[in-house]
Amino acid sequence: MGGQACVLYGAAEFSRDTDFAILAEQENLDLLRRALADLQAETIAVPPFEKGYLDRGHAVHFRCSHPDALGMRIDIMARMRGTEDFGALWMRRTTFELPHGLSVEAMSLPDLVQAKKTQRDKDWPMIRRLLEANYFENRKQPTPQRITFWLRELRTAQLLIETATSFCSRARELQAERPLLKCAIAEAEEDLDSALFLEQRQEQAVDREYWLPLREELEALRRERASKTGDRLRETES
Amino acid sequence: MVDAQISDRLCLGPLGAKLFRKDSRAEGSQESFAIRIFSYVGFMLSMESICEEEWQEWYRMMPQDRWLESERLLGTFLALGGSLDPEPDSQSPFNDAATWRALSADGRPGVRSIRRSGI
Repeated sequence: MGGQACVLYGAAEFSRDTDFAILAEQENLDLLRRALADLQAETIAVPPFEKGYLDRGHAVHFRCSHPDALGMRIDIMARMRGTEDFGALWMRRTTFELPHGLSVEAMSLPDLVQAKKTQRDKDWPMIRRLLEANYFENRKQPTPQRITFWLRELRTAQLLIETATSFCSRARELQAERPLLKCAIAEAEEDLDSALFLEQRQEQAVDREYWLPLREELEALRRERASKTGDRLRETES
Repeated sequence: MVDAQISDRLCLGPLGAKLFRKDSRAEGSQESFAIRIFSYVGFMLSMESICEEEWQEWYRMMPQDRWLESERLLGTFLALGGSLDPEPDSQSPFNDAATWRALSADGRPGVRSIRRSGI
């Protein structure tokens, strides 16, 4: 998921780290631990690599020291706000065949879009580009599933107007779920731009609320770590 | 009036409604869906009107080609002194100001401009 998936779907040019959604079952975590050991990856920051933190929705961060992956950062999460459990995400995944016989299992586009609805301003242009790339790639084959996805998620006003006015029956059906479709059907571009911005802000507020208890937990872990570091320094000095 | 009725019932969009007249085909039938698709495809916004040339090229690429190009871009970024460490982001719940200060003594990002045109 994350930036590397956005590269594959066309929304990003490169990413400096790699984010994985994982199944947080003990057997799988043990396998992951071995893979991370191969990369000589160590946890950085907080929280520690423990199932409980992953189950609560935290991200665990690693940096690799293996010469072939020197400095590469890896982030793992088992739960992302607004997405289903790993099993459901896995069933819907996209498999990308890459050069040199490699393949990548990427989160499906709708799931990736949902996972990207964070409190960070920088994630929202990415969502817009994910939808634009998918729209331009597929708009000559507008299946009912795609039409519904575009009406639910497009963030480019002109494209949303184009879709809503061309499929206004479906747009009206989805209006209860996404009220700004009313502006799209009416081709009120300025109002739609304002509504899209408001929608973004509301989603960011929801994400901040979701992360409040998790942030408090992270802050407590940082204080505890700082306190232990201070104790160790004092022991060294004395 | 006829155009508005057509647009509303068959959801052709304003331009599509002007071209196709309401006929005896039932709404929701395969024919009316085909008419919607035909009118929609025929009057699409151009990619050029929506995004910059750089992103147009990127959208047109196959995922495999984007992957290869992305590897190249990352290599260039690192060769120019870029860092794999994240930029400080106060909006991120993962942001730890103390960790960022430890990584970068002067507090500046890893990529610095060496030469500027004066602008």
